[in-house]
Amino acid sequence: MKKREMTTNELEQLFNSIIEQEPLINEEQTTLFLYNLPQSPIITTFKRFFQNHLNTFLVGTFMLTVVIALFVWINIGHKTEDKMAQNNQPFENKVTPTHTDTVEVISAVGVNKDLVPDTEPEDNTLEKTFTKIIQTDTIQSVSDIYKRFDKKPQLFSILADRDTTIFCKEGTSIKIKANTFISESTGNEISGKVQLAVKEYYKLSDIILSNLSTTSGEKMLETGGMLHLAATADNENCIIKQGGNIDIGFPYSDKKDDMKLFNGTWLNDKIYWELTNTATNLNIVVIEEIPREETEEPTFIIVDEPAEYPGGSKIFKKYIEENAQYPFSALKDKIEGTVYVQFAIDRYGYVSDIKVLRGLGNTLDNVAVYIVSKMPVWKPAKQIGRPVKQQFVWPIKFAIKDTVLTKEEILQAKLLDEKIKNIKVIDRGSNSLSNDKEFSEDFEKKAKDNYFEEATVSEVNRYLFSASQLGWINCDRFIKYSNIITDYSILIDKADKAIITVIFQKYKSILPGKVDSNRITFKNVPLGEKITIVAIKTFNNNIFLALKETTITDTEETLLDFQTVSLNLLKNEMEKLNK
Amino acid sequence: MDTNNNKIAYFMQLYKPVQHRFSAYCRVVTGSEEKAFDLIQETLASAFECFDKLRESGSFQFFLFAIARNCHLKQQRRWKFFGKQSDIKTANISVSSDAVEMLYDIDLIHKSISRLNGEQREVILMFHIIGFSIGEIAQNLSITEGAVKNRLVRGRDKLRKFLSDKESKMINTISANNLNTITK
Repeated sequence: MKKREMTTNELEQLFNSIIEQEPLINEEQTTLFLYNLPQSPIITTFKRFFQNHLNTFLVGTFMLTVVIALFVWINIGHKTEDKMAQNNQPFENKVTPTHTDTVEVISAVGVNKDLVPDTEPEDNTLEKTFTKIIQTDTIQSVSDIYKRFDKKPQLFSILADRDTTIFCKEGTSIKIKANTFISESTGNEISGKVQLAVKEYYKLSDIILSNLSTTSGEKMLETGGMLHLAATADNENCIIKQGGNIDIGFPYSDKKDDMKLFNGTWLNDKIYWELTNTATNLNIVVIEEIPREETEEPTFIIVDEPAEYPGGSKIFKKYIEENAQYPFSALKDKIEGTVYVQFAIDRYGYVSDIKVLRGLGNTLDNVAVYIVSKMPVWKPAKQIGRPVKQQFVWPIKFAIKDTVLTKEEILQAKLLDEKIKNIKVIDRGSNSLSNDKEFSEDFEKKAKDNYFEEATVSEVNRYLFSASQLGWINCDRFIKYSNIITDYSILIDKADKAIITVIFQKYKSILPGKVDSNRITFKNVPLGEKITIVAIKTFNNNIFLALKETTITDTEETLLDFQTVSLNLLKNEMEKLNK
Repeated sequence: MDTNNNKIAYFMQLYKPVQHRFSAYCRVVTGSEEKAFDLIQETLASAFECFDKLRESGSFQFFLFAIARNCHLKQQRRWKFFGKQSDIKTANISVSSDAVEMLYDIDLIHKSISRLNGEQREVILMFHIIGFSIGEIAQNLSITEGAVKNRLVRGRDKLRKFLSDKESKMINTISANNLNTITK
């Protein structure tokens, strides 16, 4: 069919037909519409503005939301970083009373308040804490100083339904079994994440500046470290369930006997330690391996660029063939066959994770492992341009030569026997001919020692205890001394309201005194023992410190000589006591 | 109150002669009755609001169509943002007697016009629907009359081609005469 072109006339008519149609709104309707238009120019203007700029308005709102969200996120991010970095920060940063530092302290106090409710003041709102901290910019009492130096907790987020071991910064290890925590209010078992806040007090300076002491009743204690533990889940306090416990390891440098676990309670700004009946001393001194800082790297089998033996695969085959020799002890057994060895080349090119998948018995397996373990450093495998760990399985063939062995060959076989003597195969396949299926880590350790130059296997000794409650925990022992016991007093001015403690550096023991009228008395202390008297007081927003090294005598100590110090200096002076 | 009545009366006096063309313009430009209805209302409201700013009564046509054009652009932006209503939905909404035939015309013209390029479309609408003279269009678009004529001729040629194609595809014979009888 031929297409019919429309004429100009027809087009004109088409347009006309459209124009001649009845208008959508007739005259009457239009007049009515105009009458009903809103009179208020403000509303109309607003309506029109909204209509005309709806897109701009929506986009603007969206942008604003994004900006606010970003701002909040950055702020939260900073706070989290602060929390994490709190223990790393140099002290000076924390006390200089600048605006930012104040914020830092607030955030820290906020954290404390949530996690450590028993140590915090009764204020419930953050605002109250805020004002309180602002006030402490001017140090009004010694307790303000303690608040300033309050240790920041190390926060650990753990999964409640898994066994977890935590290593804290100062060496404490805490082993928590799965499902240990229950909610304090409801008593329900916690599932999901639990936040554990740990404060460690090992140094004398930390202990003094946190107003802690080491006495149980009237008896002096020698401390092996103090801890404060608090657990929360969804802002709710957690406790250890009935019959549950956590294993705590306190690190030590010189081992001392009779260490016991004490629980602390605060009363009138003093901590009282009580021997726990429930805690059991595991009485084992363990040598623990601190895990390597790097997380377990994933092992690849297929990679973009496989790991390469120095010189290529031909050289590798040659190396294996040349070294797959019979040790002297295996010659008489006349076993032939293939040992399948699985090994991994880590991202540094070192061989690791050597396993025998299918072996030919102890001796030949050992030879195979020995050969693999003695390989030089490989060129590591690469995945998306990054070096990664790659796993290999390699068959090592053992075949007996028909020819008579020369003297030299016999000597080499005997030498090989010597070399493989210490090797124990970690894992054997089910087809192994050997009965020795013992799993041994010795070899793994040896392999690591030999091949991981950067391996950080450090041995830390710890006192191990099993604690059944959180809160203040102290690893102490009662001091045994042969000296005559006496009461020691220092003359003071009661108006000073100074806090005076006596430190026995030899024992790592801190003794609070008892104030009556114009003297402070320390009861049942060993005569002739070396001590350091530490007295801190405040007056007119200034801090005064008095330090005195002396020995315990029958006579009364004279008035102390106070000097003004800054917070930094106070901290420094206290740190000197650690030595 | 009287001032408002006077204003409405004067507005209606100027609006009456152009209402058919205005309605047609809105129909063609939006392609659906519902949207045309919206556009008419919005334009009327805006025009009435700034009616005081109109100095010469002779330029009311320019004034109204300029507003209609702006309103349509804004509407388009809004539809773009919220999503356009489908034609089927629109067709279901309108239930007037001649609606179907009219919709067909409008659809035909709208689709054909929308295939023209922007310059040609504008000139075609101004000349055929609004009824501006070539001189007025040239003045309005700040181009020469020659250019207007050029665009008009080319636009018309294209339109004729599109319309013939469509007609032969959709219904075998639909002449302008036929259409006239249907709509009348």
